[in-house]
Amino acid sequence: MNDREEQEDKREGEGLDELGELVIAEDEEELEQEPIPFRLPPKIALFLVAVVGLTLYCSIQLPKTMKEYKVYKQAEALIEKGETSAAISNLDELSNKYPDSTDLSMKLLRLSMQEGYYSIAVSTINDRLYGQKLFAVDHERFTGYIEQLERHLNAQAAVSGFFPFADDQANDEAPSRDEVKAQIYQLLDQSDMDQAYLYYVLSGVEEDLDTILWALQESYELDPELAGLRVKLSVICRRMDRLEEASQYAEEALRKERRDVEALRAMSTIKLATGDLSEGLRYSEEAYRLNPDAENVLSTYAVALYANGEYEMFRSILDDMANKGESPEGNLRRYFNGDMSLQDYYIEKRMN
Amino acid sequence: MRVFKELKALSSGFGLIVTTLTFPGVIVHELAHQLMCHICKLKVYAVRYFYPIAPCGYVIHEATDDPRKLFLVATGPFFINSGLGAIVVLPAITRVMLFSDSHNPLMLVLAWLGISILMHAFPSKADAKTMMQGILKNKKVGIVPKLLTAPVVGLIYLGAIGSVYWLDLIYAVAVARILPDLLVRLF
Repeated sequence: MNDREEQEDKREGEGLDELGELVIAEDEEELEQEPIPFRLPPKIALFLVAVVGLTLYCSIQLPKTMKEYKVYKQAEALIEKGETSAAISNLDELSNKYPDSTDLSMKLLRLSMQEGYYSIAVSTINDRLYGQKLFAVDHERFTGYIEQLERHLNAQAAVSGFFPFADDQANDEAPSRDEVKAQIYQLLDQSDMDQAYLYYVLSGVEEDLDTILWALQESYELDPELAGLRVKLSVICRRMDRLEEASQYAEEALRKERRDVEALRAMSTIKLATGDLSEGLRYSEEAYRLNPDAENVLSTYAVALYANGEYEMFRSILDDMANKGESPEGNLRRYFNGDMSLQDYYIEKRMN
Repeated sequence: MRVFKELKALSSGFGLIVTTLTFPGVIVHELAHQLMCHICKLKVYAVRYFYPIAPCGYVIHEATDDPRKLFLVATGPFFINSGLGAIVVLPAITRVMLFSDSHNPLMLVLAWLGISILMHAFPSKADAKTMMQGILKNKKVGIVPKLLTAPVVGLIYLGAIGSVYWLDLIYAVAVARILPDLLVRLF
């Protein structure tokens, strides 16, 4: 037995081991000690005050920190629940608060790229991740994202240079629609451009429904997460009487963002066109609740109310539209006058 | 057996350094024993809150046949250190580890304090020994308290053995890393 073991055994014999702290005095008389009152030495009292103070501070901090942790931890679950924009914007807010957190920024970048929130991805890279040390696996992913975003930004820059429809103050020197189309078709041959974005832009320039649908489908094939793409596809499919496809795209858009006003409106029009009037009203009511100021939301809501015989509310919405300087015109007026059916209003008659 | 002893001796020397570095946990541990003695109205004869030479801390109190009092006094530090340590460590470790808020000195101090307190949550072998003698081997104590206490004593011994293999540190880190996930799932 070495010295250390002897010491250890001696201590254990005394009822104290190295990290052992609790000892029962078997016989009080043997101890020859008076019991001590529950009074702490000044240093220990000071220590206790400090620990209690810090514990109180942490108790106050704990709910806030757990809320932040929840934002980080449950971002994917929130996206699964159809609250993509809330998940991304909450993460973005958190990432702004903790700009040094690579974990947080990488997660925000990954989800932004996955869900098509490219502007947030760009700001995350520029403001928080550029120049940071990353793990090999993150670095590989990061490089891929940068290449993808560069193509997207290249396409955006190229389009903004000649696309007059984005500019309200388009002047006489602006290129014609045909010239813009020709330029976009030229860009489609360039591999350093985001093709999905270019097809999407092309769909906004084209006038023929078949060509618009083709461009949107090409875009969807390449990047289904492009902002607004599914809704636009849904609307075009509905206009072309391809209601099943229209419904699928609108459902996809709502799965991604259950509070997407445009997707709700699109779904409402599909339901109205298929004769499911109550569902049409439900979707348009939800869209109106989320954005009561949007012109197209108001008109769809008015149509749904009229179709469902809710005339009192219908008149109130018409008044609301009138107050905003909008009054039913064209087909909408014809529908309200009974000169046009819902199907005719929402589905375009086409000559084959 | 000899290998184990040598390992333990080696670990004990290093363990003393770790214990010194995590001294707030030792103080809270002893305070918890003392507080429980006070609550259970057991006389305390001597307390060492912390000393950088083994034994680093202890509480000497009067004997009792009441298994509830023995149980509370022996396991009190586990509950107090775990609760206090968790409250202190959770905001700090989440911010420091995940949100890289390491330039905030208060958060670093809180992380150290919380881990220190959690690392000393496990009752010691001496605590288990008092429960063994006062409850399991005590003829005056009924079979039910013995049955309830036996697994706790077993776990404490396991913890004491495990501390050689850094179980105390593993426990502290586990609380700091797993508890936030549980809280987020629950609320």
